[in-house]
Amino acid sequence: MLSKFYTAQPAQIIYPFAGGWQVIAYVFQNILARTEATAKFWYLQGDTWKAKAKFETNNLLKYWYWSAFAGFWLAGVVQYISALLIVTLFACIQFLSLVIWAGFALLVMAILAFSNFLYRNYYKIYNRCPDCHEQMDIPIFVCPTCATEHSQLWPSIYGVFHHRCKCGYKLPTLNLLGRKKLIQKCAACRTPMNNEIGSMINIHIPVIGGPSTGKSNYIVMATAQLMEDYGKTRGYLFDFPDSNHRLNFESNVHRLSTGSPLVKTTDIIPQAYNLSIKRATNSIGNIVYIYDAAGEAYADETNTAQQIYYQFIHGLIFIVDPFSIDNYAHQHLTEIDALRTSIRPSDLDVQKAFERMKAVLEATVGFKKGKRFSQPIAIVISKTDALN
Amino acid sequence: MEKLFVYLIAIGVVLYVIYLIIVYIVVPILGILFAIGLLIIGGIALAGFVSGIYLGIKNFFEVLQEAHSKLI
Repeated sequence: MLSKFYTAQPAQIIYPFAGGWQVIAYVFQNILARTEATAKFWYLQGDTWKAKAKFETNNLLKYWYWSAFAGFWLAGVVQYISALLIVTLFACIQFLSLVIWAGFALLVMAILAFSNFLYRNYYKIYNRCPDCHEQMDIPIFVCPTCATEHSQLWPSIYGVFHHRCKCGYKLPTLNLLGRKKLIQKCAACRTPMNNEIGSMINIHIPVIGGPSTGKSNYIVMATAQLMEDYGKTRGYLFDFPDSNHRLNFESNVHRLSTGSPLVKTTDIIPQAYNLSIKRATNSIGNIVYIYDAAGEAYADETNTAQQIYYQFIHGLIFIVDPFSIDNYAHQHLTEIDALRTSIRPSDLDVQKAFERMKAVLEATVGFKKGKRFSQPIAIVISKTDALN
Repeated sequence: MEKLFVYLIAIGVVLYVIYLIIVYIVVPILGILFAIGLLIIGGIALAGFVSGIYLGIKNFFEVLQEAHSKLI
């Protein structure tokens, strides 16, 4: 539980929580050693007068010599007293300063943590890995100079607004101060994540369907149309926060435009691809996670159960290949057989795919008696133009 | 009888003179000599105190600087 809030970081703990107290201890330990050296000087002087007094026959001089000895001895003692006075005064001032400083820092930390919590919960902003689908409180941030990983780069005893990395680089602890410019990694699988994750409102949409239902084609074409037709006329700005996703999308659009089929999706547990959507007038945009699992993910129950990202979903797109509907397939058997290689009918029955999707929903989202599943579902019929 | 009286007065005068010598000459001289001793003690102790404060502050700032340099 404690490790959720505090894990040792490769950074320096700030002065009021470590250094300030170490300084008090160091001053106490070392000032006495130095005072001993100066006091010794006075004691040595005293010893000289003591020796003189012992061998003096004149009583008056003897008395004055002894007085000098006493004076030097007192001077030696006074060295400790003055040193202790200074150190005690310092310790009191330092103690009070550190307590006030630490208290103020804790207060600012609490305010920042609470504001951050409210902001994230109000806007529904979460750090979710598009690769392993883990949700984390905070991703790992990487120091740009020494590549050290910082797992809790937030206001803490390592710094309220900045953490000073072991290499000396100042890492901002807030997105406002530029934390999102750092490389961030998933805390679970350590895969680098794009910088928009954790700063935009999450929307998770899986595209579901059996093998060869045309999910990938649909995603590419729908995204292209969304960006070109819908976005431009309504003032939406679209972007791929992950440059790999952009390259992948562009190459897929190119393949489809040249009539080449897309490369078959093989990931049973898919990597979500991210698309950011923002209106020019909005201060905060959305980051869409589109999950394109291979159709085989719904081919058996074990694979279906691995679709753990269902717990986050905001809506579903269910792709139906009409050629996988028995009645329709029987009715058009001869036409389908003639075009089988280009149509590539899905071999998974629609009803089975739907049932498996429902089973995962029940297991992850959970249904309540008498209540409907609140997330919308879009049913998309693909390949409708195949038989004219 | 009269001679005895004069003799006693002379003794009294002598004792009074001795008293005056002790009170106004011997005791102050002894006092001064004793005070010189105390002054020696006080002076040296004061010098020690002043130098102690100076060296204490000097040592303190040196140690403080050292402590902070060791933190980095």
